[in-house]
Amino acid sequence: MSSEIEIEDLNAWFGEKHVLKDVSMEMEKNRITAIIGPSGCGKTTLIRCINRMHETVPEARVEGRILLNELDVYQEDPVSIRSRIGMVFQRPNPFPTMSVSENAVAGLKLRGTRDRSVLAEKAKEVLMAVGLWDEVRNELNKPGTSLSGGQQQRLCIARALAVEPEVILMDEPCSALDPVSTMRIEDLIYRLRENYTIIIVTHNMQQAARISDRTAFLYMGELIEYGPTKRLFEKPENELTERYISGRFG
Amino acid sequence: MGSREKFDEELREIYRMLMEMGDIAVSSISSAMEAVEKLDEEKAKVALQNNQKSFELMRGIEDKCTELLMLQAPVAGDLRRIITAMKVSIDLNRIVRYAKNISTLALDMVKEREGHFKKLVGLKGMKKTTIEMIEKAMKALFEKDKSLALEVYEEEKDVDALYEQIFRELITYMVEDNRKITRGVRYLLAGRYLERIADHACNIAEGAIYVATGERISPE
Amino acid sequence: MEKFRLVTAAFAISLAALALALFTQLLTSSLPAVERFGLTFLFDTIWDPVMEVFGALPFVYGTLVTSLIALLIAVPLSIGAAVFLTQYVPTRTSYLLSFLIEIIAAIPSVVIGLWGIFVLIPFMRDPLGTFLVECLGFIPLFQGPVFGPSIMTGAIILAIMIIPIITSITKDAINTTPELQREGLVALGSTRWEVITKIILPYARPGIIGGVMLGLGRAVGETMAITMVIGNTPSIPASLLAPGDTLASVIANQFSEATSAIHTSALIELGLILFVITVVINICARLILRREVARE
Repeated sequence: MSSEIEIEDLNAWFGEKHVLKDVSMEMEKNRITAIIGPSGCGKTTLIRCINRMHETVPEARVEGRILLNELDVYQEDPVSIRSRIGMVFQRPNPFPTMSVSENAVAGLKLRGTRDRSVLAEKAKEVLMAVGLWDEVRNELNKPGTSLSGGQQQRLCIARALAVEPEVILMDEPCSALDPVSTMRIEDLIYRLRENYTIIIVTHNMQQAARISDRTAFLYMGELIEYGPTKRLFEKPENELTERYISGRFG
Repeated sequence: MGSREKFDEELREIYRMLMEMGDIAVSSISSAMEAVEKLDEEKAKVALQNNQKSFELMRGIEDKCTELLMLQAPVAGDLRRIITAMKVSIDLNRIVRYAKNISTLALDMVKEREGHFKKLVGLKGMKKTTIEMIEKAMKALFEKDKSLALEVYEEEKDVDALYEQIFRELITYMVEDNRKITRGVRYLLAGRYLERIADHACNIAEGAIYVATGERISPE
Repeated sequence: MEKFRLVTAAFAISLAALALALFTQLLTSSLPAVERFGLTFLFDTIWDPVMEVFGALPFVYGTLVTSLIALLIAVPLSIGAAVFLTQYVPTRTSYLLSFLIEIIAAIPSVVIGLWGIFVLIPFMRDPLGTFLVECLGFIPLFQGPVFGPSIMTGAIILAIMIIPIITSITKDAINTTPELQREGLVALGSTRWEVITKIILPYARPGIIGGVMLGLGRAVGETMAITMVIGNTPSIPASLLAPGDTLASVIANQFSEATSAIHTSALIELGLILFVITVVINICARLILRREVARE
């Protein structure tokens, strides 16, 4: 099942620093929403507010509403929200003490699944979903960190899929990868939109253009422009957006 | 020079070439029509020579645009300018080809060693308006002026009306006197070419609007 | 530049030489006792300066037992404190509390010893000692009668003194946990407790072990405070609630009043044993730290 996200008047702070200012937007279900903007514009903070990771940092604060299928994320238990909204990080972070297959189902184990055959089945399912199964079927018991960078990142995506989230947040998931791995991940992301709502932060505008359905441009904590990707890259309405995407910033 | 500055420089060069093509198109039309009006062989040749220059410029623009698209992955305004430059260069080249066709008509008329059997008021009017349309469309393109581009569409109606008028008039002449058919058809063809040129001027105006606003105007 | 290199080399070599000289000095000075008692020195349980019978076992026992009990008390408390300070409280509060804990390490041990005499010993005698006897008296280790000064009292004092060390090293170790790993688990929908037990503690483990070893080294060598509360009785009591003695305490207590040469030599041999124990602990700590570095 995939869900839609609705953000209303979101404000976020780090200590005194106001990093998100009155952001309101909707992310459609089964669509890929890309968030672009210069470094420090608040794009990562924005997605970290959605699964309530922002508040795990000391001195961080959030105001406003985020609705997951009309359910107010900030009225719920953050742990249960995070199991419904998966996240993939900038750099692949498989757990070094766990094997490939343990990594894939780490989230299920957290939730108390102990049955070995169920776990093995699920590991196979998600590794197949990310196109990793054929590459690692003989290395399932090796440490997750023994894989290549691109494989590790796909393993992390598999790990997020295993808990059957409705939404997947991705924070520059290809920024540490080579072009070939990047293409494979992009393909994967594009395929995943059939079953999930995907929100991806990227500093690679071509990537946003290639895979997303809608693109949001953030600048200094404000949502400057948000619209269909094709429209935004062909005829941005805002001068700032135009300058940013055509590389004439500052 | 940074890569962005180099990009901007290349794009400016493309538009400089486009402007040159515009000038060639206008001068081709005016010398071709002068050749027709005055049955002047020399003027006709000018338009014929222009054809080659225009073709080379069009190729140059195509190469440069391809390179920018390939290497710089332009978006937004940059993308619209590049795409439009490619399309407008094709339109301008077509215009020069039509001017060449008109010159060929002039040369044929020179060979016939006969003066005009009527004053070419309608054709002159069409020439004046089409040149104006091209100049306006190019200006609209460079200045990203949508309303100026829209004027080009208005003027096309005038050109169409003039052509219609010339058509009826010449049919009358040709029905009355079948010796006038050869020359009459030549006048008619010249009018037809000018009408086509006006059409291409509209395409340029359409490109100008796309560059300015990203909108795509449909004909009519 | 060259001159500077020579000067620093001289400093480094002289420090190493100092350690070596210390060891040989201990060895030669204890030679009379080593020659006279041989290996029985290590295993004899009687220490009688008047009869010139010297056995080190009660002190070795006292030192090891007080240190181990101190660790048993201090390690869980320190790890708990470190986890609390790094995971549960805002930075500013954590800073303040850490400062207060670390200040314990700065208190002179004689002052802690005084506190031990006036507060801990009476407390030991009345509620705590009797409580232990009542609840755990069926185990020989907690048999009565209850003395104020005892091995247990010494162990508690040591625990208090090593808590700041272990806490601060554990805190540092916890802070080296890669943020990306921690967030990876949090984002999968785990509770704070799961993050602590599955990511933070496993990551910090080598660092924590290093801290524990350092704390152990401190506990083994600690003299003043424990001397003031342990009771200074050279025996190996069955009960932890009875007085005992440690290597460091007996040296401090008897060295100035040792009359015979053999008494002095025996005390120095105790010093040698203490030296060897601390060196072994330090080597263990190094090995563990090296393994941690190799793992990364």
